[in-house]
Amino acid sequence: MRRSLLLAMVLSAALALGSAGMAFAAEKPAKNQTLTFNLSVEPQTIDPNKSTGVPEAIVELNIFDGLTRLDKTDRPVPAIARSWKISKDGKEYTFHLRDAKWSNGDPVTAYDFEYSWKRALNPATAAEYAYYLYYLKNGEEYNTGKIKDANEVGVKAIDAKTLKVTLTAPTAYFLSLTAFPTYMPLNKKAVEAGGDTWYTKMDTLVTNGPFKIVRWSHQDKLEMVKNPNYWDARKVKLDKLVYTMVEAESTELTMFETGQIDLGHFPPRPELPRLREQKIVKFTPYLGTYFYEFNTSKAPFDNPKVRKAFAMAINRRQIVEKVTKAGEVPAMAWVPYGMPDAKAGTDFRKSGGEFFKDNDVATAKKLLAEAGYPDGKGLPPIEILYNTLEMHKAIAEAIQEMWKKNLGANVTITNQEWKVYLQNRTDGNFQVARAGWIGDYVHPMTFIDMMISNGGNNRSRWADKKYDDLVEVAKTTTNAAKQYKAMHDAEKILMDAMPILPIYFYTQPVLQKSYVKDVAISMLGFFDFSSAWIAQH
Amino acid sequence: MIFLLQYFAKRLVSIILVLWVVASATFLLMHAIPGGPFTTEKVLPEAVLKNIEVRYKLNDPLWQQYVDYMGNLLRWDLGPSFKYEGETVNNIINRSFPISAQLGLYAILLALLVGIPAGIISALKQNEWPDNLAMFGATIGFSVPSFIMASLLMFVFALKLRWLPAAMWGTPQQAVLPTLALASLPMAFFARLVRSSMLEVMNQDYIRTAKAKGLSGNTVIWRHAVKNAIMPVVTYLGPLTASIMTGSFVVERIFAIPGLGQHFVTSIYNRDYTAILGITVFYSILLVLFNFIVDIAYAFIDPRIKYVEEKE
Amino acid sequence: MELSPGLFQPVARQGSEAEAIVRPSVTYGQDAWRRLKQNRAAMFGLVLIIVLLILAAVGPYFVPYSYSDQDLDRTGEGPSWQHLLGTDLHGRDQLVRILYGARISLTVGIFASLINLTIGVVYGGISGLAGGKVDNIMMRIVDVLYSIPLLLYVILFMVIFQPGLQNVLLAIGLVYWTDMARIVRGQILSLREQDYVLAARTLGARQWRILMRHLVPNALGPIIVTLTLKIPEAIFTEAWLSFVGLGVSAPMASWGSLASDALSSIRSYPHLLLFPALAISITMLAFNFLGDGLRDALDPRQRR
Repeated sequence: MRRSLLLAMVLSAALALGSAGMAFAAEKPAKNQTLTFNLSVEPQTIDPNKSTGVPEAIVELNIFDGLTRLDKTDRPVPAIARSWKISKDGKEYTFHLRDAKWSNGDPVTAYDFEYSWKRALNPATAAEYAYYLYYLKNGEEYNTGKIKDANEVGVKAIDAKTLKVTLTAPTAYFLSLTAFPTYMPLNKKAVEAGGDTWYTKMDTLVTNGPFKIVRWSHQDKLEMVKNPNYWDARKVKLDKLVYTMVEAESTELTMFETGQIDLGHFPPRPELPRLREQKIVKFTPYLGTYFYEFNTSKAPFDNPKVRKAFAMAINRRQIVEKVTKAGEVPAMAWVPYGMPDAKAGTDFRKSGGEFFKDNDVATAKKLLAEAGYPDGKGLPPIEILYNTLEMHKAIAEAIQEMWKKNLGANVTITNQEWKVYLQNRTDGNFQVARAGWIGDYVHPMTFIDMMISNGGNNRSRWADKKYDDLVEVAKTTTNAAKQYKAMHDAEKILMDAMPILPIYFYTQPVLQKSYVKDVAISMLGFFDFSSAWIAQH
Repeated sequence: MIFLLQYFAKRLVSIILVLWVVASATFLLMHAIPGGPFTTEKVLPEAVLKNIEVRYKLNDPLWQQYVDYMGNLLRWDLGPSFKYEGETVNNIINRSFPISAQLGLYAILLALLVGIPAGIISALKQNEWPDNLAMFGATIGFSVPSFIMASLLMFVFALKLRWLPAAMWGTPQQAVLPTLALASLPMAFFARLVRSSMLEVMNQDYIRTAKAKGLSGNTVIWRHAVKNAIMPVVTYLGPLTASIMTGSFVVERIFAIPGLGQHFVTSIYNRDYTAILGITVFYSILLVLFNFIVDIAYAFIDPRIKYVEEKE
Repeated sequence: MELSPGLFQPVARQGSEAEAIVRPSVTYGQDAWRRLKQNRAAMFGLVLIIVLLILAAVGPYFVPYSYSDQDLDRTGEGPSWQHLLGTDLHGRDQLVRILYGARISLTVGIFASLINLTIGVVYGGISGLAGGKVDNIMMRIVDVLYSIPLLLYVILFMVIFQPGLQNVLLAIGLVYWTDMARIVRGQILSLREQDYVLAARTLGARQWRILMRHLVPNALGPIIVTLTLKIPEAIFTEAWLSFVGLGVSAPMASWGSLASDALSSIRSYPHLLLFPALAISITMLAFNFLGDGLRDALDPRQRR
């Protein structure tokens, strides 16, 4: 395991060097290495233990460095951890740390990781993403108050350079998790000196990543400079990195077109065809599925045939081409493209294939007739629920017409304010609701385990014992082949029952000036600027 | 003098009552609507939610939360924001209000300085071209709301002509477009109000008499017409000043201005309870204060107005 | 000659006759209508509004599309003979959508004016005329209504009621008259001390009559101007409420919604913003003309 990883490391390093070298040969770096990126919102926090959102992660991943870091293809590569050893049963990780420094000059140690992880789990911290650390032995118990002694949690610094981690179950994607904000180290001295607001004061905001924050003008902009104490500072080419917080999409576009920002990621949808023609927008893969969820406890959607009929009576190709317009991929399955399968280099989705045909009106009509609603006769009025957003409305309007035309259904659409909508979905006050799911890590499990019976995020009220068993198998086995087979089988059961109706796989539209180079855009929505640079223009 | 003091005292009592009713009603309403600050798309495990509720004292009975909040409100301690971890609502207001207030004052000044003269000229040149032009402009100002105005201004002056920066806050150039967007509606309103009141006053007998007696045109207008025409303008200025100085949601959002206006709406969407209450109460204080000032201004403009009823 | 009180008999007068000594021939209303008819701009505005109402009522029947018919292969097209005002981003006919939108927006606009003219004027009038304690209480109630965020009520309504236009009207009815009340009250405060009010009072006119016959007509200018401000505000508030989910459900759309939705595509499809915005502006122009004419017609000083 270690050897192959090392080899991969060397290879990827060589590749990275090669491509960087070639790029430099073709284009010269500009004198002024400043990049302005529109983060679009004020981060709710930049305390890595407490943050939950993508915008916060885009800040934290560029000012902190964890045990691992995701590379351009979203695979975890060594960062503060120089190397690691995994026990046979897959439950024990021993990380060996490299020499690294905090921005204030202190050394980064294994104790910093232990402190941070225990802090995130401490009930008094009340971190929302504490459950991201439930993989650790006794993590959940400590966080829920069943155990009072933090020392029983499965993370221990053996010495300053060695961190031992014990998990409750073998977790194939644990090394991806250690690249996640919740798992970042913290400088205990600074955090305790600064109290709850340590990260808002520039003297206690001590970090260990590629950049460090020098000014935070709330709701306005965040200014960072290269961190000279970063262990890999040689790789960092930008001198200055500025995040703006411009929320309005058309304002972002205007600022981009007039040169106030170099990079943005929320272009207005209706403008996409033009921007695409002008080659200033690109669409990068995004690990998410846009879907409609049926309330399977209420007629007519308690009948899987009706659910399937409605799923097949949608023209997804037309929706992605004419309505959403960002190069999304029609989804005839649940798990999106871009995640690994058992065999190295294969894609879970590609090997799993598609489960039904897009826009298959004939079969849809047949299924609906079989369910007792020939040509939609006898169907109760159908209501689509969506949360207030222009794009959701546009998609709902298109689907409303398709169901009317193809199935003869009487469809209305209703929008609700975000939290009212969430509450109604949780309470089951809906027939069909718009929904989306974004992966947390690059592994199919992040999608598969959402649909387990009574799972908090499974609001369809669909439950299937066989599905749950397969998920359990996939979660506990150390055998990769067995694990992936279980997940493929589970997905098949899901698509057979169709409690959710997949529509498309997300993409990330990015407005990027041609002189902005080597920004690593993750499928998880993160932007990593540690290798980015500005070409002469 | 005694009457005046009595009046002030009575007014103060009523202001405090208003604030109490506003805070209580807002408190009730925000707890009545579905969803809380930690209702999230990815459902939180129960234990995690419990930890958070303990931390923010959301597990206390509602009346207890209400009593605590009112107690803190008396000390102007508005509590921590639920959305922005580690931020207090006092901080948010202290930081963003000056920006909104500055922009709002520019807009009010512009609206007054352009709107009132435009209205006066319109009235004096009734049905001539300056009048038609001004009233056409005012109709546009009425029917185009600020969010469309803001987008159009940005489109023309930032994108097409490149005369001004598109958005953000800091330089004088960046203040131009948002000021125009904010000012367009009150400007149109002032122009029409002044024009209409002036025409009315100019038709009154005493103005005709004054003119007939040989008082020069300008003096007549200044002494009587403008003074009377200014009444509705002053009335409108009260609530306008309060709302424009606390910022406009759409204009601040479109021009990416770090003001208070955005929080009025986003705090509700986020169910950021403390922020909703704090900002609403703050706004209410400004509103009652400015309306008080308006009432005092009435008495100066029109000495016949009396608030203190002399016993007959 | 001796004059004793017994020689005189008081004329029995009803309150309404107390001052009806002017001209019994034409009523106030008839007189105003006569003057309105002479005002060309006002008549133009009135005709325009009637035409708009007729278009809203029967217009959709003359277009061979419905407001929800989509053609996703013909999205965002400019005006053509097939689609006189072009198509929107779902390939729907823009003309028929604007005609349907007129129904919503005109309803909201007219409702808002009625609310302002009734609740707003009466509330402000009473407050101003009564003065003192009553005035203070009434105006503080307005302050409370003005301070509590509208969005909070709106979300609450959304939970209680089914979406629909009635919620929008309710929300508008709740708060949309406060500016008017304040303006009227300010005018009345200054007018009530004027000589003719004193005269009317001495003649024994009742408070209500003083308010409606003497004070309000003299404050008509600001009232009409405020009214014309409130109409477009209500039209766009409806758009916002519908967007949030309280009002009319898509695909039905009002002028306000059509205009707001078109904003994000202004660079690529300007015609989507242009036509609904034009519809709103034309309506406003008509209301303004009519409003100015009404002001002049109802002005008691212009009676001849």
